[in-house]
Amino acid sequence: MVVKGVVQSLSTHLNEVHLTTELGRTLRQDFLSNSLPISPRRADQISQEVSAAFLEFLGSEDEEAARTCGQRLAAEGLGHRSILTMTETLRQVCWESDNPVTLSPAAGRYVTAVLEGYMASREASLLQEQTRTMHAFQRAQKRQDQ
Amino acid sequence: MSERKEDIMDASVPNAGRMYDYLLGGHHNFEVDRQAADQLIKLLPFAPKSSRLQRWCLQDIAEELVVRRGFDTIIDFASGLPTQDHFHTRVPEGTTVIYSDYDPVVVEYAHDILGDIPNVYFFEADARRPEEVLDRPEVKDILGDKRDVALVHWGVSLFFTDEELAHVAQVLYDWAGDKSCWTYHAHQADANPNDPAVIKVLKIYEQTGTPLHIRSLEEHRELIQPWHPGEEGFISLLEWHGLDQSEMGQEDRKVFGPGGAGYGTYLVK
Repeated sequence: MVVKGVVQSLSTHLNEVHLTTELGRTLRQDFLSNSLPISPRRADQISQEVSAAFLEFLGSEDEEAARTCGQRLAAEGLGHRSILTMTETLRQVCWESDNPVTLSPAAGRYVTAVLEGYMASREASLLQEQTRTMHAFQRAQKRQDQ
Repeated sequence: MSERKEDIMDASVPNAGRMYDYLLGGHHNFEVDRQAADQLIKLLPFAPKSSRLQRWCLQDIAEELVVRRGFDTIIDFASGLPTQDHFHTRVPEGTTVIYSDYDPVVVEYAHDILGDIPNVYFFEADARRPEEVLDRPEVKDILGDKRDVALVHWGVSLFFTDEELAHVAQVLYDWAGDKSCWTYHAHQADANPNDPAVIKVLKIYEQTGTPLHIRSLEEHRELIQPWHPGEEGFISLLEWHGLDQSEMGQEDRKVFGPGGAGYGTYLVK
């Protein structure tokens, strides 16, 4: 079990600007090659948000907030390849920081929670889309038959 | 384009709109659409990227029209599904957004997505006949005497014949007020219609009932008269997003032309 006081000081071992830059770079590398419906201009905003959320997590260890972050990214349309490469970049930056021994496990907990939220949101969205598609076809057919 | 609603709604044949959704990474498509789109991707590997270049513009268009140009009404044709990246999610509250599409299933799905969002409407209408939207009693009620509005035809001109495109331009010009703006996408302008892969793709789309009409940028300019581009002129979609041609391979450029997905512009009277 990680002591909050120790975790709180972790953010000082992490350069937020560097993290944001690396996340943005990762996102932009993938934006044309994966299922990323978000405009490339949004890439910088997303990387800032994810970076800020991670630093907040280091202070709070709030996994529910991390799951919400994942859900939000899914709802916005971030592709699965993007979320995986971003979370990998986050882990990498923590590993390369001056305190990898404690930052890396924190990154692991954060990434797990974010991905849980992301996958839950994607699944819920797909199920909702299935239902909506079925209803849309039924209503359209009914209108045609009238 | 197929006139029969039964054909448009038939989930056992590929549908151009559902193929586009698949190219964007969406899930509003069926196996038959994915198979046709996969054939397309094999022939034109840049196609999914080209589709994204096109779709990403919607957010910028919303901002340009409402925030920078001050329009409080957007009338969009061939809207497709009003998902989270579409106009109504990017404009201030109170902006009127009138969407339309000729696919009855899209219309029903759209009503489900939009629910009771105020000032956002979705009508069944064919983008080739904008009068189907503009002359609707409901739209007349919504707009009243307003004619200085933002009109949008984005990602659809490739499916129009020359006659249809000229008709659209004239109807909009006659209807719109002098301060109106028509956001127009010269869809896949300067793509190479003689490329062997493109010829095969043209056949795929013929089978969907929505044949493609590739034309040069100059041909687009002729057909959209009397509208003309504003000072920005036509912008290639790569340039629009701050990208350069290194995003495209040599083969991609030969097929799609230097634009990547054609050119966009804000037309004025």
